Amino acid sequence: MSKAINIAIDDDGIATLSIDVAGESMNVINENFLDDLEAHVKTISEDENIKGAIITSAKPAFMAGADLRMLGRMIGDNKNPDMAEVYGACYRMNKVLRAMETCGKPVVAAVNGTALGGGLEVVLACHHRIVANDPKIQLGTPEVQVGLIPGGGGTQRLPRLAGIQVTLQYTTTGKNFNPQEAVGMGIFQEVVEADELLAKAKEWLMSKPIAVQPWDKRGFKFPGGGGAMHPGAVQTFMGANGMAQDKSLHNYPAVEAILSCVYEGSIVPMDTALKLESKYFAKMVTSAATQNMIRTLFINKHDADRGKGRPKSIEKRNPQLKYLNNLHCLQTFRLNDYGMKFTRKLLNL
Amino acid sequence: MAEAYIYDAVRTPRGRGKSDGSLHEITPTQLAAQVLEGLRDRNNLDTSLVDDVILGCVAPVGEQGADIARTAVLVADYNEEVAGVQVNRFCASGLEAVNMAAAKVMSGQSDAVIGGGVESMSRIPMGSDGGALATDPAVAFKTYFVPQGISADLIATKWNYSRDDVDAYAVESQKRAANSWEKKMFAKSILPVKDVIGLNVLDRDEHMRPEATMQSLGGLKASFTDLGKNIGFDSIALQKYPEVEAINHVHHAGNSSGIVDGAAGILVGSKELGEKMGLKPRARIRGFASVGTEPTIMLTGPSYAAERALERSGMSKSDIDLWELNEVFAAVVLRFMEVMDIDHGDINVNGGAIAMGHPLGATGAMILGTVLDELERTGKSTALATLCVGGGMGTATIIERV
Ligand SMILES: CC(C)(COP(=O)(O)OP(=O)(O)OC[C@H]1O[C@@H](n2cnc3c(N)ncnc32)[C@H](O)[C@@H]1OP(=O)(O)O)[C@@H](O)C(=O)NCCC(=O)NCCS
Repeated sequence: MSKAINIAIDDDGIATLSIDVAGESMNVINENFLDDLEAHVKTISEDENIKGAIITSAKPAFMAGADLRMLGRMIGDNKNPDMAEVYGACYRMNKVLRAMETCGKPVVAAVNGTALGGGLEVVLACHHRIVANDPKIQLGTPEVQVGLIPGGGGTQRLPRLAGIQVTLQYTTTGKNFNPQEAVGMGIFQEVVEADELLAKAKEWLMSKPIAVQPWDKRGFKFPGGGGAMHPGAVQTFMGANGMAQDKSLHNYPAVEAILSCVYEGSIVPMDTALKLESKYFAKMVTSAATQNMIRTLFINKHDADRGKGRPKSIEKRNPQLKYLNNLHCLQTFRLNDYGMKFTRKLLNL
Repeated sequence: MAEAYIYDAVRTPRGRGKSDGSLHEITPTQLAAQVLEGLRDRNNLDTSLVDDVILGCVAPVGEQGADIARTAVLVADYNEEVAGVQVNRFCASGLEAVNMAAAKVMSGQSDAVIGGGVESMSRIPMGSDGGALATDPAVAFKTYFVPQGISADLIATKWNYSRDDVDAYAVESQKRAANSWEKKMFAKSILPVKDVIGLNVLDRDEHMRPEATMQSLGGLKASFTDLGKNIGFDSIALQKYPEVEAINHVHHAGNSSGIVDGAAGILVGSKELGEKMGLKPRARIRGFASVGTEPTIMLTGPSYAAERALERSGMSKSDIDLWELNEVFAAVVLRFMEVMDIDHGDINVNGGAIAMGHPLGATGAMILGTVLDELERTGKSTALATLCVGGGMGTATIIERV
């Protein structure tokens, strides 16, 4: 029994990988997940009986992003982490996903539920992407909201699928989108009814598709022109730099790092681009701003929302408790949008 | 150290930098080559005596790429031993080219060098060369990059110039340019541009609008409001200049430098060159300087460059009879006059780029030639020419008639 991804191979040689990360209510990317995926990719690539693979989830949601607690622990209290070591750890995800998309066999994502952050990045590394027609499914790259960047190839595959402008819009804000929108953006090829998901995925695999990503073919062009050296990209990046600095006030290093990944990554081939992304990810995850954001906006907020510090004398439903929780978040993270909105409401502004 | 002298200066008229402009059909190579031919033919110049041709060009891509200076040397049928190099100091490229030419002569490594510049803005639009400053996030964030128009509006706000102030300056520029053309004050240096069958296509700056008034300019919409407010550049400028509350957008098509095509060249040489060629030097290059300044406000460089050039030349402000500052945006000149305490009557007396246009790579050489003509016409002695430069720089040159 595997710890994160189960594999089953049917008579037609179709391998189905169902993600079911043990001990988590929602699938997250952790060491076990990467270990399993790496092993399964090797099997798919080497086993002559396997024609192709479907990736889906055994849980209602497809997959959330990386395990933030794991990332929070990554550098611990070390103020001078070994950057080569951190980079190596960060690059692992890209290495495994890159191995998947270049394994020589077609891989299709059958997305049955919400896929965020690293979860969406697993999908992007598949050759064909099908999503269930359910407007409640949330798709997106929310990493920026905790001071991180998409670190599983998101800053590289999204612009190559959806174009630079669309990518910048979503990755620098962390705004989600739904399946229909995702098809419009060029991220998914098909949106089908939930109960047809696996059948459609298999149908695609049985059509003898080519297992090569567009960006690995000669003469590949970015949607809407070229990469950052395309004449049209001057306006795009100049505008994006302007708007991003306006909104982030130089307080969010991740916004700049995302822009840099998309800019620099669009000039070089995928393998180099993924390494660059992992380097920027390592730079962010080791920065004080990011570690503080993860601690405050994820770990502490999570605890506060569940009333961890609630004095036993105060009843659970007491509305004052919510105030206290929010103020607690505010204290530790002054610029949090949520906190600001809350304060404004509190002060009737 | 040897002295560097200016023997001659020519410029093309400036064509409107759009597809209906008169110079749109002329290649930038031709613009530059015709300037080189003009310098040769007017002076009976034995081109084998010229060591190098240095041309400024700000968008050196496409047909302006691959070293347009050497290309023009070959097209103009100069002796093939004449080298050529293209330089880019943004808006001051043409003046920088002259300064480099002078430096080669002063150092004794060259006897004759042509400095000048070329830009066909109608054919190779501004910004065609991309560059990291505005686009690479790692650079733009670090330097708080904003486009020039925002910097100009920031200067106007910080130094408190109203829309009326900048418009009044623009109206005066138009008046002076029109008067100078009418009185043929540019005649000595203008080289009409010829087409492929040798016919004149342009013999006069065609961007001018002598009829401009405060009323007509008052009707124009500020050009950089959208960039500032909707693309976020006002916010970036304010992050760097928190003492400013909000940017007052005052610059528009009528008080900013016009987008035009043109080229210019200045023959710089040693004393011996003049003796050998039987040429009389028109002026001596007293000194020059380029400096870096704060990049977000970007366009304050001229006063710093002027001061450094004065200091290097052992001169003071009062030693300068005429000033020439490229009119890239009206507020840039207003600020220069204010901080340098210069009377409007002593600067840009023949009008400037607001009326006649600013062909980026060429303008520096053009205004140096213009102020030299004016010194000769009025019998005055010294002049300082300067330009503001993208990325936060300034370049200045001081000349003295001999
Ligand atoms: C300011 C700027 C953006 C305006 O460009 P533009 O909008 O293309 O300018 P146009 O020549 O089309 O003029 C716009 C309008 O103003 C009008 N106009 C221009 N000058 C005028 C004048 N002096 N009087 C009355 N109207 C005038 C034009 O007729 C035109 O009107 P229309 O729209 O009804 O035809 C442009 O000139 C500019 O960028 N200049 C600076 C160049 C620069 O940055 N150089 C490098 C600096 S570091």
